[in-house]
Amino acid sequence: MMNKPDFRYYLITSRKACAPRPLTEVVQKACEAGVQAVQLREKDLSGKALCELAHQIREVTTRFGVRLFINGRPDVAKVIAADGVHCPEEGFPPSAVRQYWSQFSIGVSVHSLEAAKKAEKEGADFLLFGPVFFTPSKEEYGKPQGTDRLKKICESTSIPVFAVGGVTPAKVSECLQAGAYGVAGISALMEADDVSGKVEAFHSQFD
Amino acid sequence: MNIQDYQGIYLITDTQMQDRYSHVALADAAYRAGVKMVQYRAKDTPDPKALKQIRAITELESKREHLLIVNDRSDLAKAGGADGVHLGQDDLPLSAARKVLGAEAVIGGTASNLEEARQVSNTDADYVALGHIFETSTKQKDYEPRGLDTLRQVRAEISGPLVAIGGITLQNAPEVIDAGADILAVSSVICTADDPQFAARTLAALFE
Repeated sequence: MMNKPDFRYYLITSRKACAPRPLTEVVQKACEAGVQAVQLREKDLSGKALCELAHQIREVTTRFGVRLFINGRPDVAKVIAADGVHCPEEGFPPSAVRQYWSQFSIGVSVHSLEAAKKAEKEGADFLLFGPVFFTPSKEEYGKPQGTDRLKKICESTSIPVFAVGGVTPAKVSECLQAGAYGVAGISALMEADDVSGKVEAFHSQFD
Repeated sequence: MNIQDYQGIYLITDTQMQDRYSHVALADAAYRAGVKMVQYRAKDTPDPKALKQIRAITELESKREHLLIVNDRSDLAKAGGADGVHLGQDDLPLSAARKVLGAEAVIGGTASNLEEARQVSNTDADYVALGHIFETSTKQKDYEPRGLDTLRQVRAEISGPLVAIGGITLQNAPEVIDAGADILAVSSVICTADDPQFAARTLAALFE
């Protein structure tokens, strides 16, 4: 297994949530404010458009020494020299990423204990579990899982678990108490007027 | 198989306009019938399932040294053990796919006119696929069929393997070959045939 992630708080992108500001601008602000990792997750883009955007985000993240993960596309990750790949639960299998692109760190989204164990077995370096709290962007996936289930996942696996879904700075300590290694956020940051302030608010929770 | 020397049929598997045959069954029927090139195209299939299907095709006894090309996704092609990838104008750039798959892979690109054909041909593409030549119901198109004249124009400028795609049938295939196509890409004419293997054999025989 690879070393544990060198980040505790990371940003998952949504260029729709940060519109009309360009995604690269918001990511740059977050990087300036000290975010340590970014997952580029823009599922509706064509391969060509995703590749172009990924190049831009790679340029920004490299400048700030920030880790970059590409959602679901190891080919794009390879082309732009990302640090890792993030595999959706029903997406590109982590075992195949591990086998063919061993240089990548691998994050895997899971929504159940069963999926968490499977992902660990398939070579995930860390898990992303959620939605832990209520979040409009994930409402379609049903009720929030809650911190009790987060605790269960953390206790039942031996790799780091990040909590996602409705995590605000005020809720970070609850997640850490449940055993989470860190947290990830989409809307909390993408929609924030003051991106820098928001990143700092998250970071202060890990001091 | 060296694509530079191939003159024949290129089956694009489809399970949306028919569901009697799986991608694997269609590929097997085609390879058995003498079609030496198959493209796996399953746009809305989740990656784990697509990967299984691609791997199953590569393991077919009938596949042997024949080619399996994956539509759009170089990562699925690599992890599935396919021979290459086919890229549309909105997919990963050809140079990027080459980086993922390496020098040995067969990489082809779509062109819908002479200008795009030149561009694809000026990269290190292994083939140029021009289309659609005739009306087709397999893919929704927002432009008119290109016809045989465009095919002839492209042929006059491009020396590498040229694939004609779109609306090709047993009836019009001979004139597409006459217009200079090395390879005929077909989908519905084999996938929706009563007997796909027989349809594939009949088409493959045009090159004998």
